[in-house]
Amino acid sequence: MSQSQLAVVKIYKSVIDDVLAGVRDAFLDEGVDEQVLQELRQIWEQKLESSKAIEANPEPEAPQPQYLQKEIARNSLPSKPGNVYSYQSAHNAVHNSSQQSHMVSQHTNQMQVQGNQSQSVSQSQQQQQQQHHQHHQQHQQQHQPPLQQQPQHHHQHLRQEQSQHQQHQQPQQQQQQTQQSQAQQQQSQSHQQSTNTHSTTPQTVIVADPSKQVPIQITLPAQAGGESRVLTIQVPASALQGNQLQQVLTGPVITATMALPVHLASSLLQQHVNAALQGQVTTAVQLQSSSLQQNNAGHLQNQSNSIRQLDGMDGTCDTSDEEEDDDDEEEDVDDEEENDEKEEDENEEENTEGQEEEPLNSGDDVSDEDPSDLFDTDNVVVCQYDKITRTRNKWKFHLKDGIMNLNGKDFVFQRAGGDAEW
Amino acid sequence: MSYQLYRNTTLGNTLQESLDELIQYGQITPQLAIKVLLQFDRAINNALATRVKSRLTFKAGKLNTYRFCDNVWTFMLNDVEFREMNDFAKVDKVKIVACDGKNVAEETSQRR
Repeated sequence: MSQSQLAVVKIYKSVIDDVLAGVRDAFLDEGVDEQVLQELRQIWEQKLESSKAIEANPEPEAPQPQYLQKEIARNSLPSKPGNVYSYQSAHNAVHNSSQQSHMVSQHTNQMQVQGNQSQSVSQSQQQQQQQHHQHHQQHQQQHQPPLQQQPQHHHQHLRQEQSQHQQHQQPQQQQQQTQQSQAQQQQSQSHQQSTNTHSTTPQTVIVADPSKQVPIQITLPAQAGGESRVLTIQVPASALQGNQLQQVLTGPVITATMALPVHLASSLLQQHVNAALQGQVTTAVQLQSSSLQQNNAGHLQNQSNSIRQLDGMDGTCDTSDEEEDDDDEEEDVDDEEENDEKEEDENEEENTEGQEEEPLNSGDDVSDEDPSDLFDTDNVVVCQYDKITRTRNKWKFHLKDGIMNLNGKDFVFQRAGGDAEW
Repeated sequence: MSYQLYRNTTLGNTLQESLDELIQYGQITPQLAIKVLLQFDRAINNALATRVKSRLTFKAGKLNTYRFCDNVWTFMLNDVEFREMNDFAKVDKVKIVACDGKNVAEETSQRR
């Protein structure tokens, strides 16, 4: 199979080249830079690689490991956890086409993430970065609200001098930071109220091991009558890339969190991050935050979900009285007795679990759910047909020019023939 | 105009995702992205017609469903074995979507 895989890769590459060559003119006509074209190619190839649908890619992403090292180098510099500075300039300078830098540059009201990783670094870079960051720090502290995240990282290969140096500065600057943050808060509250707690600058960290869990500290600003609280949540390092945290820990979430005591808040945020990173669904975030705002206890999701399920299901399908009043409810409606029985049996089961959908009359469905499910598989062949014939129930297929994805792997063919019985 | 059939492949989907990202960043316009996709359609059709040489056969245990609509065949096969020369691949379920190969008419809607 590897032979065919190589052929596939070659063909894909040639297609990419053709496409990009063809659109170059269109790009120029629209006034889009050639750089963007290259970026498109890179992103496209990256995605192809990560999709694992092809093997033995002859063109490894050579830029990536190099960039990784450089960016980790830069990230090792920030020994000041209180910094409000951003990695924007650093990133843009190094790797213009990286996603992170773009997301960073676009969102100016987000969280900060800092990583204290150290790997082999050149001293001159450090010094430049420090000066640069200090400027940023002063400049931005005046405008940025105090919501900060401070990941404290324990990473393997490091220069001990750096780490000690960093740790040294940390406590000092933390104190400064909290003082300043409180002062700022009073000022900034008069100016912007709701946006305060949610607006911070984004930062990104490149981690060599994206699956590693990184503890991140989130400092919540003091509320009226409250005080600054520091929550710690575990976040996989991959989340730090691409500013996903900023998307996850959005405004409503933070507002909800602020209302809760510390341990609940940290567990909420933790759930949030985990759920969001697994599902990457912002609606889940909103749902959680809204449901959590209703109650402070734990079993909210069940309630909120079941409440939503009850929409339009009054009367015989009323789940609250279900378990005890089955007989009464069934007698009320003569027409659909049988259906109700099946429904309520199912509803009972599902309500004990509490969270599943309740398709109406689902118990009546005899077919194999062909239309919906069966047409949704992973193994797909997209092609053209020359001839499709049938004799009684014997079908013969004459296909051509096809791309197949079987068991996750891609194949291509010029011609394919097959038989099947219906 | 070529078939937009191949947009729902690994190659096509990754291209669409990449274009979506660039649109999000505001680096290209949706109009330009459409042009890119059209170019992709042409390129992939061309590549499959000229650069691909492999032939294979397959044998299915069962044809579960068949559909012929708008000159597009959609089959669901079960228990299929694909063979090419020495090696083969077995899958439990496969969906085959096939557009008319005799006459590459204008096919503007995507097929799943």
